[in-house]
Amino acid sequence: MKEIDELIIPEDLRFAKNHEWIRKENGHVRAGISDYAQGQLGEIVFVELPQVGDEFKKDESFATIESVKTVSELYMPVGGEIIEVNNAVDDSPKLINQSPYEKGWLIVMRPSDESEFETLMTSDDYIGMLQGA
Amino acid sequence: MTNRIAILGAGPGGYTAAVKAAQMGADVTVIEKDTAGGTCLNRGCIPSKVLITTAELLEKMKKADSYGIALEGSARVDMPALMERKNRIVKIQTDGIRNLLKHHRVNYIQGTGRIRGDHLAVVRTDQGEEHQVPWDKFIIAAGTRPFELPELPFDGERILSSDHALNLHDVPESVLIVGGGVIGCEFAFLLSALGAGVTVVEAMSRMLPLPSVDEDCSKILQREMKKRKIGFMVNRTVAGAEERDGKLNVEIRPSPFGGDPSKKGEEPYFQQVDKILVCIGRTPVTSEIEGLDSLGVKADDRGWIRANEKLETGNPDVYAVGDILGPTKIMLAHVAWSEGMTAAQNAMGGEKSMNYDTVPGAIFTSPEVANVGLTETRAREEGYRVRADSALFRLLGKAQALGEIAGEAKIISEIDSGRVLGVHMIGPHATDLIAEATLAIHMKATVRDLAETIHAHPTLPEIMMETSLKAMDQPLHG
Repeated sequence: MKEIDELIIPEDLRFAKNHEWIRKENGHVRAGISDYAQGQLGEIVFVELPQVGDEFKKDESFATIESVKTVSELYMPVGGEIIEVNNAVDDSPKLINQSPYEKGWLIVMRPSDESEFETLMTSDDYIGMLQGA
Repeated sequence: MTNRIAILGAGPGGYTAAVKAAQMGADVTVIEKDTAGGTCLNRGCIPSKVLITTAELLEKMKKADSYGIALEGSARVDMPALMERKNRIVKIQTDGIRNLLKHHRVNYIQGTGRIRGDHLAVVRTDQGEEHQVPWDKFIIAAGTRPFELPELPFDGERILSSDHALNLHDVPESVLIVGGGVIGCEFAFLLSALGAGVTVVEAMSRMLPLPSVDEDCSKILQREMKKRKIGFMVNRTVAGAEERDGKLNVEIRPSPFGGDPSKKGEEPYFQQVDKILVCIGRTPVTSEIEGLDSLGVKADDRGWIRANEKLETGNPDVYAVGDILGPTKIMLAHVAWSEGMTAAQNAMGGEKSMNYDTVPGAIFTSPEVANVGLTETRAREEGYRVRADSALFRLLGKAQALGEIAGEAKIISEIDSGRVLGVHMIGPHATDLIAEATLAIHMKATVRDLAETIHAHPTLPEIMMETSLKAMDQPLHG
């Protein structure tokens, strides 16, 4: 497992306390799990993704992720409607381990309330949280 | 003194009653119109497990590389050979029952039995001979057959019952299973592993929507279905199907039963498949038993025979056992065995009562699902103060070594006493592992009893120890 200072924590993303990240893209939001989260989980073997059209509130469980070590729920960093899911991780869940911010993204959503972005952490805040953990 | 006992049906309920009554000194006659062993042995538990064993082996062989095996070419099922193996195993067991009955000097008559007059049954054999069987006590163990939907009548080719599905000559390219209960889900995993494209349509809101099955087990099973690309729809029913371009065009509608009300107005959806397998339950053969009315035996409006805990019917000389008693008395072979023993002893003057509180359930999906005792919801409804603790199979070294890490065990225990009230599992060999839980509940054991019992390492039963330690707030591995 990587040390905190070895983790990749991109500055253009926002992070939730359960280690999900979001990236704003033309009014939509792409989301996944952080480098720290994938490292903690270990080899990921399956992700149960939501369906396009499903709607979730902030902090509601939207997916389940299974690794060789554990099974975890993933929670919506902000509320919204799912408009795209990453089918590539269905066949190859290890993409999340290999590329958590690019090839291993999980969902794209249409956010329901942009003010919820303010509840999320910047990369610096997130690193601070990890250092304090 | 009772000494002549006639039993209609040689399934698990009937043959067990026959052996027990014979051991107690009765002159026993068993009437069977089909083959000894009943649904369990001929059209249920045993043949399906033979097919599932092959399906699971095939599934593992498809992942051979992950086990460090380089397989030349690909593994595929040989259906005629598989059916031959199934028939051979069924025959060994059927012959075993015939021999068992012979050993106990039970008179076995092959033919269709009916009631004629007072304390007399008549059996007509396939050859047209008639045998008269006078009796002092009569035990009805005649069983059930697959329930048929009027809009989807069985033809054995396109629209199948579970009986047909156990005798397939080829693996269908695509099959739609109506009903996500025990039989439907077992066939879903079986047919998918054999190579069929499978979709399950369930009217209720989850797979395995049985009150005895924990909701988390259903949730995990659904995830396992997704992993295997087994399609499933909940809150939907099949309205009908018509043949079109060599396929069945199946109409799927929102479910009228307890489903999602927001889906009620949804447009019907159509799916094209090669075959439909209808697994929506079973129906008693009560109405087919000629002369039963004259005995004063009561049945409900669906034909399930009414019997009390002693398995007595409305007639003091007539008992009923097994699946023909319907779902309120749990339609499982191991329950029928227990009922057979109970009815036989009572027919011989005993005062035995059935206890349905600690009946394990075993569902042979992949992974397996098993349960015994109360669910968390039921325990609370009964007024218990309970806690629910679960542990993941993937914590166990043995599960990792097997490459079968999915699933969990959950223990429902009483907060004050620690008494185990229910155990629910989904995972590798869950149907074997439930035996320890069943004994624990039967003996009123506590989570401490389970946690302090040394379990061999590395084995799957360690899951009971791990979960019990969690229930004592002393988790060891997670």
